[in-house]
Amino acid sequence: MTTVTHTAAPSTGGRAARWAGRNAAVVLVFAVTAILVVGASFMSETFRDPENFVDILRQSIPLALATIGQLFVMLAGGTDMSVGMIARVVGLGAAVAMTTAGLPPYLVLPLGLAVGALLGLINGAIVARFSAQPFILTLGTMGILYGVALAISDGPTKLVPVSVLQIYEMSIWSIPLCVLAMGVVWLIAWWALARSHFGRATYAVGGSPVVARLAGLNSNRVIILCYVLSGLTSAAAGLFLLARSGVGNPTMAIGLEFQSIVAAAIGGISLYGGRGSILGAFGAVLLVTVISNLFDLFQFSAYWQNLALGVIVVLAVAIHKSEKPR
Amino acid sequence: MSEAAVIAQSSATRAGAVRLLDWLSRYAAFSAVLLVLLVAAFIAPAFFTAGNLRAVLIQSAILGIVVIGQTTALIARGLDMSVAAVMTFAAVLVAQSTATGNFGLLIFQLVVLTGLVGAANSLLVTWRRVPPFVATFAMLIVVDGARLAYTHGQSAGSAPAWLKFLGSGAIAGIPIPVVIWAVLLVVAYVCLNRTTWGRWLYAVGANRGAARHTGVAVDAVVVSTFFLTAISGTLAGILLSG
Repeated sequence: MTTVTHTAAPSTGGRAARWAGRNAAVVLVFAVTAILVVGASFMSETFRDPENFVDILRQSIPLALATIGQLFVMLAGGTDMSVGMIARVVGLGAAVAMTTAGLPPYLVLPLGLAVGALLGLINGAIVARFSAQPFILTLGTMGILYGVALAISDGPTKLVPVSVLQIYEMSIWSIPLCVLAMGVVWLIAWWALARSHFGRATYAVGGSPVVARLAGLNSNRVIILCYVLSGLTSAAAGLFLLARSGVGNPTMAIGLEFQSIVAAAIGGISLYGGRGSILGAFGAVLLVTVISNLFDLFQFSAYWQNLALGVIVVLAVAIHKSEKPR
Repeated sequence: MSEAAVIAQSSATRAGAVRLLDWLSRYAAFSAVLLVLLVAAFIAPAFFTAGNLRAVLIQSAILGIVVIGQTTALIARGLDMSVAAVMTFAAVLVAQSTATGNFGLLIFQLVVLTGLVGAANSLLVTWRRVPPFVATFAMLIVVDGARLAYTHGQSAGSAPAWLKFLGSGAIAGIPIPVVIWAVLLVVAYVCLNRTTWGRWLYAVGANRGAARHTGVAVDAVVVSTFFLTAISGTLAGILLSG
């Protein structure tokens, strides 16, 4: 079988220390998140309220979904710039289908996911078959979908059925179901990446395409599957945003593609492909969400939020030196 | 049918058509412009009025100036995502300076903006080895955020007279941005094709390792491209607000 650099070598002592040394980005992300959480808990009673922690987890869902899809594409050596617009087209399209066309949610929601997967399939097929530059191609798809979203609706739609809002509201023992579901998705993503054949193949294709081909892997199929996954999770993010706001908005999911790339990059996913872990991405998504929660909590001027976020991103990308020479 | 048979069959006129097609696809960008102009002639004759052509030319001049900077970055296998933010910030700074009338401050602000963005991109890419896409994208968020923090989301003031002249005036009937664009195009052409720096730029883009071994100051070349993109962004921003 293929050997992948990612697999941890068994060792006797100092295994944790060596793991930390190899995964400096992951450790750093969790350390910064922990410092922020502990510090803010001391400073603010509202922040340390358990309800706020649950809320942070719920706030993180759209970014978490988009980042998981983005992560697979990036590990396979690509970039998906269309995730935000896939989320927008699916969310907005579903809203129009349910309000104007009056279709039932149990039909529209699975259809929305299917549309997302199909859009991903188109991205993946073109990237794989024609060896297109992923960044440029998905940037093109992003532009097309931006136009499609405008064609679907140029203003906010009417309120979607209450059952859709339940996706966001429903909870068991005061833990929202969507947070539990997100936890399951993270676990599945971890399993798929670290334990499944497909995960190994993704690392191999992104880390060393030539070796992957020589080892008899069908690179094209792996690449296409990654883009399909990305389309699927983006569509899920769009539908979740719809359930949160209750109305389809032509400006929804703005900047999601950038945020997901940034989260993946902060989490230590190599932009050259082949390196990175689910754990790092999870930490990065938490970090970004905690930061935006803190901004809102301390009523940090909205005008300064972007600047602060930008500075954090610059520091994050500057701190960990990339491992592969250009 | 074999390839040889196809070639044998081609007549002189066909060879001419093939050569034309060849030429058109080699200069695909120009062919596309020609095509668009032809279509416009049929479906939108108003396109060819003097006023519209002038507006289109000014627009393409501003874009063209940014593209000159971006071209140097792309040739060296880089990319600068932050130019758009630099352009808007520069335009905002110019517009605000008219409210205060302090043009010394404006020039200082523009130089600081250009220098900081160019230096930050260069440091991230050469020293920290961050991929250009990520580094310049991070700077895009920073510069856009800085603009929001600086203006609080409002735009104020209008362009001063000298700037209006620069942005929409004309020399011998040719809009000034177009003149600036043309001059910069010639300068860029000469620099890319006739100077050591130009040779180095192509060498860095073609094979970084080989370039380094033949004594090219690779990092210096990369730094120069990021300063060029920042400068072109600022310049386009100034013209944009005029």
